Amino acid sequence: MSVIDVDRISKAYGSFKAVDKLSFSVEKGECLGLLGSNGAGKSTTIKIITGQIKPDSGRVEVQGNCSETDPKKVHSVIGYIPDDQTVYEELTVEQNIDIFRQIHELPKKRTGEIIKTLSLIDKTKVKVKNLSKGLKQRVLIARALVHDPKVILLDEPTTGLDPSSAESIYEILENLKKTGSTILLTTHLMNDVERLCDRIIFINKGEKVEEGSPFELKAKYKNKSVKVQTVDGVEHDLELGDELTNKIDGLNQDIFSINTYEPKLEDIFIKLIRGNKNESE
Amino acid sequence: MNLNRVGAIISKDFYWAKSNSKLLGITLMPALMNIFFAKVAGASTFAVGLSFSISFLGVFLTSFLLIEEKRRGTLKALLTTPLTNSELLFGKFIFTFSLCLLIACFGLAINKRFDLFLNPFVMLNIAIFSATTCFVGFIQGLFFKNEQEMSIAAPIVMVLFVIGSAIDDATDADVAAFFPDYHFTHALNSSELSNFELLYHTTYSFIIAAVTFIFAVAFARFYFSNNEEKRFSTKLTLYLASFLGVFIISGLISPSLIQEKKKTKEAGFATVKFKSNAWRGEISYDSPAVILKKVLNSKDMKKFKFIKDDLEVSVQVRVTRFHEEFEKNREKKIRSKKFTTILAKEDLIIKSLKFRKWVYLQDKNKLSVLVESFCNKQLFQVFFDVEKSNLEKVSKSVKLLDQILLKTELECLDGKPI
Repeated sequence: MSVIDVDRISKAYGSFKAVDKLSFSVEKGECLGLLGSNGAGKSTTIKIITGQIKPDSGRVEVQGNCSETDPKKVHSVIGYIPDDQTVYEELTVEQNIDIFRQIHELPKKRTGEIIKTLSLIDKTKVKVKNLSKGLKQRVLIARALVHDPKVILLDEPTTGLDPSSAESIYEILENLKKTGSTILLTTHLMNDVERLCDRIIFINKGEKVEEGSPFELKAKYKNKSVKVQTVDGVEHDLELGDELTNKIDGLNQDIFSINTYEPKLEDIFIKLIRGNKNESE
Repeated sequence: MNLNRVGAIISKDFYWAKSNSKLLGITLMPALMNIFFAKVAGASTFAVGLSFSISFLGVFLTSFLLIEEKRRGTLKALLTTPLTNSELLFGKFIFTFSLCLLIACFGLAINKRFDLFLNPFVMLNIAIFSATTCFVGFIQGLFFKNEQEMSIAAPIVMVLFVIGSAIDDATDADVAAFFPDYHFTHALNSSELSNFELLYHTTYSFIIAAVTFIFAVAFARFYFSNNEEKRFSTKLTLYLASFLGVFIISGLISPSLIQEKKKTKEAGFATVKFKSNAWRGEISYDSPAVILKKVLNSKDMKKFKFIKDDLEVSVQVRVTRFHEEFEKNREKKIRSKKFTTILAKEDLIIKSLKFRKWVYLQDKNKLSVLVESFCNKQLFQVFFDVEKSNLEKVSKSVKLLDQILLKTELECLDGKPI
């Protein structure tokens, strides 16, 4: 059974279509990545799922609750980490988390537990404005997880973080995956999806352009060429096929190496977006 | 509505305002204003100082609390939890409203008006006025995206909340009556008001508060259901139009009271005109049952015969340029408070709509009363004597005279201050 069910949602701002008849679902315990360039409609989609924006058409259900008609039921089962660091800078880490603990009507000890889980224990009484960006992001995650939600929505969770901070966020999310949480994240960073996602949806101009697991997509968009390096250091991309040996002979150089290489998600992403652009032109 | 979640918002705003310099500044500024008005401007302006500090706190703190949340994105973070829009706004309202009440109490204390703490009408008016300013803060905070946008609109509305008493002093009170602070500042002087006037000011304040509340709810619904940002000019026009709406609707609902006042002045069923060298007073009475027509042409004391229903009372009324008798008998003067006490013993309770000060002089045979009033920045005085031998009728006569004085409008002929 799908935990998140998005059914043909559309949202336009004037003549600009932010999301266009987008459908997908996220299964229980799955981590789905929504990939797309800036302005592709990722954040709009997640805002529609969280009930912040009402779609022009279509319907979203989270654990059987409609985001549009019953947003508060949706909010009680999700943990949402927004794309910007929306924290109370002047308050301490503990105070920031405690507000949300009180809103969820949980016992006081829960604040301490989540601070411990997120390894923020030595920062408990520190004002958030004195924390690094990576630690602020951890406070955001702690705040969103204070009620132990089973559905977690993250909007670009590692954007702007240094590799070490991003790594710590990955570790937190991997642990959440292990506990069976359902995760939906939007990003334009391929590291995020390669590391965390079971399945990826590429979005461009509000439309779904491709879907599959990272392995399936790489297999689908595997390279049809080999990289041939001659002794003079020049690299040649030669297409696989019957003519390959003739083409190598045609180089008239001694061969230093012949390699196949795995396509990267970046390449697929760029290819899909460019392809889409060419189609529209 | 879940009170635990409301409590979470109140405690969050408390800690936030304490640690955010901008919010702390807005909170402390009204306290400083109160001190300024009390120590520098003098006790006479305490009501204006109080209305100014409450409106500053209510309007600005409420709107800044919302605008800061919007600017930082914490509003959307709060609203993607089980917290509802109404719980959020109610929490913020309770926080700012409590601060307004605190600042009002501080204002009363610093002006040593401890007597007003026990006056339910005054406290009710403080609560109504504080709530109104908070509702305005909500409209402002929900409407504008950031401080820059708000700083253009806020001063206009702020002026609307402090201009009533200024207009009242400068021109006609009927225009001033459309502004909430006019009613608030008058209600603070409740000891000098009749029950009718207290009710009138309280009712009007309540109606303005109710209409502002309806507008605030409408804007909140509009804001939370419509995420698309409107152009600033559109927002500003809507915002200012909404306040015009508040005053027009309040005016349409409540001016039956104002119109009644106007009618009284215009009808002039029975009129007494009295003149002295420097100024003239006019008494109007709207009851056809009263046959009252006498003109005073000099300083000399004239006998008046008031007839109403079965009551016939003779009193002597004198209008003085400056209260000569009062000056002569300075040692005998008793200020209004004592006068009220003495009259209370005699079961005479005088309350006046227009006259703010009563001075009592006691002679062997008569009860002399000097009434002072400020109008157009001029001091007006009416002096009248009541024979003590007729004391059993004094109660009724003073009450009757008071009824007449309630309708009295005095104006200066030559414009010279007395």
